[in-house]
Amino acid sequence: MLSIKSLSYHYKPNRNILWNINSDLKPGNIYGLLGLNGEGKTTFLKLIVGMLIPKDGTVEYNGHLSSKRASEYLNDVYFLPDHSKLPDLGIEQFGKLYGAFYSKYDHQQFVDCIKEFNIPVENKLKALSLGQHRKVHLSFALACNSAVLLMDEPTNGLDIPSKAIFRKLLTKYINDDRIFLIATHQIRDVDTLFDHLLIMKNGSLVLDENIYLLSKQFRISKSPMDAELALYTQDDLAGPFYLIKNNLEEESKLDIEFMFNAFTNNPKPIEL
Amino acid sequence: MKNIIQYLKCVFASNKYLLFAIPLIAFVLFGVGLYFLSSPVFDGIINSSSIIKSDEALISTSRLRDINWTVALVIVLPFFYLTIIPINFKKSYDFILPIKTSQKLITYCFIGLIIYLYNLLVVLGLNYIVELFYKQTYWNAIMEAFDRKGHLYLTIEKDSIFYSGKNALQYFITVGIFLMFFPFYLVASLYFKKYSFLISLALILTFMIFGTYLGSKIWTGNSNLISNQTYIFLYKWLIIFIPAVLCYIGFYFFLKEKEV
Repeated sequence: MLSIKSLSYHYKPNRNILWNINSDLKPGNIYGLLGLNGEGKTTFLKLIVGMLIPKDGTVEYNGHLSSKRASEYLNDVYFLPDHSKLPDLGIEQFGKLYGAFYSKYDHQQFVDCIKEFNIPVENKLKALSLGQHRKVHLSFALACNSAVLLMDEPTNGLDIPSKAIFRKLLTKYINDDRIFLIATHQIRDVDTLFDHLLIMKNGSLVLDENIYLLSKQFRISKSPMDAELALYTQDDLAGPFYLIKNNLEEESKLDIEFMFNAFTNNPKPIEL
Repeated sequence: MKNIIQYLKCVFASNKYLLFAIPLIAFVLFGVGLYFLSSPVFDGIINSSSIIKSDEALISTSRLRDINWTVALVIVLPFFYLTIIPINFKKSYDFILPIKTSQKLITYCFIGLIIYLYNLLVVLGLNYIVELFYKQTYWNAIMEAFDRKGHLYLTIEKDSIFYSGKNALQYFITVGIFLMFFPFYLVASLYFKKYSFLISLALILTFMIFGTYLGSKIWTGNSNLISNQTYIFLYKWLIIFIPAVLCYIGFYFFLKEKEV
């Protein structure tokens, strides 16, 4: 389990980017990290991987703190940044050279992912477009088989068919021992994969909940009869939609984008 | 050690151009230097057929000094290639590699040493080529010219161009100087993306001035009267050795806490 306790960070004193974040990320789940621009999603991921050092609080995995940057920790936690510019090497050579540092790296898996993305493995990275660099980096990140994989805007630069391939690969390689944390604005690209939702607002987590439990607690209604009970109302072209408590004792179908809007735009905090 | 070798492979594999760039740049600058700084030596290479016909010209050639300015190529050029190190400081795939900071530092030192020695060997080789050329082309002709002119006891001096390669072997001493200068470059390149070479130069000069100032306080400014050889040796080297060691230690901690 990746344990985040009282995590705070600031670039300038008295201007906190992140403030007192607490969460436990459990294996076997794909976490979606959502937030508006500048809310600190990338900072959050960088703090988890140890590229930034917390001003307060801790991030711990398997007994190792992120701030110590122990090689054991970095072997378990991999970070895919929001842009990929890889070194001037052949694709296979890149995998072999850099994969050698990761104890669970699987080169065949790397090659398989590259092939899934329809990139010839014998190509040089220099000859690839930025989008193709992205695919190679994604493949490498998956093939490292790290216990925690942090992805910042993973679908950035991917064409439409590649987004489907990316989703397929994620579902293929998630297992009971791994945690995937995806920070994204492109909710529609990956929302069907999320097991758990983290929503950031003003540098804090305003939602940290399992999607199944959310769907048991809330439902979205279009019925005017629910207007009075609405926790949040969103006006759409098709009329108003309401977020209400789910009293039906059964799982409802939730729209992640709607939930995001509800938890970030509502003037009053929504109680879970 | 496995991680260090692997990291070395990563850095050099993605900078393979250095294999050709280092000898090529050294060769070009060596040629330019010969032309501007040692024009008689340059002349001796391109006009050998006319020189060999004149005894005066041959005797004058025998007095040509070696090209010791090439030591500047050995010391300065590596710092331009060493930019491959700071590039890695900010690349996420490199930054998050599961290796210890100490292993990274050792790898950087190896990278510096490998580049430095490779460039040194190229410059040394060029010196040997010039020496070989002069020996093959002029040595016998000069000896005959000495005989013809009656210079029975005249010999070719050891600091002449005819011993250029052998004399350049002394350049290996500069490896020590490089290792003392290197940590200043590392610190400067970690914190100042631009002008890191100039800033590292400023850092080392500041330390030297400070050290000299402190040295001037020893024996109330009359330390030159101390004849103890150990003191003389230490005084000369400690002034840079201690700041260099401090700089290595400082770089280790800076790198350990560097945020990207």
